[in-house]
Amino acid sequence: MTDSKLIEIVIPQLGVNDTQAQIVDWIRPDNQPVEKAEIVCSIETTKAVADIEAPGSGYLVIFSAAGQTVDVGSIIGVIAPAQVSAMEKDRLRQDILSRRAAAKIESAKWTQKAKLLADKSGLAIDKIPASGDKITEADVLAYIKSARIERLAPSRADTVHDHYSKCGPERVLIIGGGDGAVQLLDMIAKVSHQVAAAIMDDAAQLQGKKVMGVPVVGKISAKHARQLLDAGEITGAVISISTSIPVRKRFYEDFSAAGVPFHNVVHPSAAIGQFANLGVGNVILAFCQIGPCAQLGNNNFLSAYCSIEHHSRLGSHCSFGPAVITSSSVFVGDDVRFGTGIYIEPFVKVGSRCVIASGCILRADIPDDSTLKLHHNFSFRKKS
Amino acid sequence: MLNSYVVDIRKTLHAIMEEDERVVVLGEDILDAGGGGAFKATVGLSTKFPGRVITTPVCEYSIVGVSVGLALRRMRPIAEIMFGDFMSIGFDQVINHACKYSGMYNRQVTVPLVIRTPMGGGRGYGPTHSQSIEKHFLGIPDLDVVAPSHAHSVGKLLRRSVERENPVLFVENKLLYPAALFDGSETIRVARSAGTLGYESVRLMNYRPGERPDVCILTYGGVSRLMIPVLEKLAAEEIRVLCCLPGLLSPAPMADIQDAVEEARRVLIVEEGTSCFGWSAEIASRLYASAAARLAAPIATLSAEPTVIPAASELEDKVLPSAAKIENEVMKLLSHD
Repeated sequence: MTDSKLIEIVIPQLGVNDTQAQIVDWIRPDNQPVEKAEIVCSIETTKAVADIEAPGSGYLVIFSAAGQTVDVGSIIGVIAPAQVSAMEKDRLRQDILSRRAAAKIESAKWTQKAKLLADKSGLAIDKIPASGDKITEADVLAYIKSARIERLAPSRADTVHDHYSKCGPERVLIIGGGDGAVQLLDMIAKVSHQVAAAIMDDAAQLQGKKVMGVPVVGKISAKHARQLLDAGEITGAVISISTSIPVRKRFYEDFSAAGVPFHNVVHPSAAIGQFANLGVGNVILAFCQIGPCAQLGNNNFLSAYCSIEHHSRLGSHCSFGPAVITSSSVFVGDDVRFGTGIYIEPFVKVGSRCVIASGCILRADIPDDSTLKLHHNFSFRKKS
Repeated sequence: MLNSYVVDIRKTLHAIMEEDERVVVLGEDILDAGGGGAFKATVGLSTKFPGRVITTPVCEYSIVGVSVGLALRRMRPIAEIMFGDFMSIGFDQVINHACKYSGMYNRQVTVPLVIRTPMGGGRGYGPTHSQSIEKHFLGIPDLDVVAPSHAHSVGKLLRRSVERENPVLFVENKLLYPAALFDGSETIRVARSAGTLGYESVRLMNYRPGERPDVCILTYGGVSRLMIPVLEKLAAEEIRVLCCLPGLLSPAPMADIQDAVEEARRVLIVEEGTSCFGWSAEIASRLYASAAARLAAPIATLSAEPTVIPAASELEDKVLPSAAKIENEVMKLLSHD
């Protein structure tokens, strides 16, 4: 006899406040034929007595005897296609009860935590091997780690640096995989004290791919970065995005809050003066000059040919286009965005959150939150 | 075997009346002849302490008003309002009288009054007997609003309320009355501590010591009955939940919850009352002021739909917070990057 032919008799919810009912009497005897809709038993709740009809035709198999109090929703018997022996009845009962429990267990092939983690890392949960009954958080973490090593091999596996990562070069995680990342990867390739370990980017088309040989390990996630840090895959991060200061700032704060440190990435052609303080998370491109005793905050992006002259002070989260030249002792606040080709006179103060258009020459202090526009008067003449 | 919620309240009332002759109990149908209260919290009191258990007309205004007078004259009245919905009728006595005298008379008098009342739906009692209207009593100067969950030492909270020299609104929960007090399971740890103003604060944790929670759920009172199955279920999904159940609702018990919020960094606030201008709004605004930089996701809130509570149980479930709704909110919070 297969379970599929059994029809369950279930205690209905008769009153809103009822959680239980008592079986008053079985009208039809056990192991005898019944017709569909025939009354088989009566039950009593707090306020009423009600009849239970046979949900199908067949042989009535009683699980719960008259006088028993049972929960609403529980199975008190079944309609079977044939008579059953006492031994069979016991097995039937066990099967049906365990089938209810099994239905819950079988449906879960992974934990919700494992699924969340896989989603955030851009992985398909069903591709991850489970170490036990279902895929767990630990399985996903192990997979991320092994997949990283697999992807590193053979092109970037370094038996010395990967094995002695603590005393080896800085292993830089690059946040953002666009054009800025290309500039950073080019710079890191030219130095020996850093290697590009991984890239994070939100773009779906970059997932699982490489940028200049460096794997995109998932979407931008401070938590994932922390896991990579704890696993020794990276030693710090740097942000390649230069076009949006709020985005740079948010990622910097999120990753810092997660305990991920930031590295400076500096082109070898940049000239750094003595006693210059470079902060962390700064990107300094080719032919930049940081004068002696100049001070940089954190998370600034300096494009090529910028000069922060001696004794100048620069805040955090600023973005410079190419060729922004400060004279000595200039002060720049936080979150300032510079265009291309800007000159700043000595001792000028540029307030926080300013936007300075390309081509400006700053001779006086600029208050906080200013936007400077420059109106060019070009006239075009066609050569005769 | 632990007491049920209502038995713990009843036993504590017996003990308090035994210990302190100043304690009197007032309310509708609370004599043994009247059944010992609609929810049986006062069974046996009138037989044991004749003359100190006063049955009243159906008039919440005077139940609270007489209690205020008794308190002013140095008695320790414990008033029972049969359904929390009708606290509206005693509201004037609370805000304009009970909570005013001490301040108006330069603290020369106190009003040590406790008003016990059940709130909450889930029993099909319809629009005017199912509400959780305690939000209208939050933030009233000099009033403590206290709400025991079934994970609290309920009697201890009641004792603390009676000890206080200022008025206390003691919000019980209808569905919790028959529930056995919860003292942990194989999956869930319970940590109890003396919270703000000495009102016991409870934490439920579905993870091992040393592990970090993924999410912090702040809630109180009757929502605790949903939290047990939610924590059990989420534990199986490896989602670690730290659930804070402060005993005190108002003044805001920030010291009871601040570190939990900072540890978990993702916060869901659940209340059974209607959304908008409630406990969750006040707690969220304070957390944004004190812990914004530590939050990994915007604070989520879950409360009753802004409508009447239907009598039909299926519809009632749709209006009130449920275990499924809480789980959904948790998953949304965790998916936020």
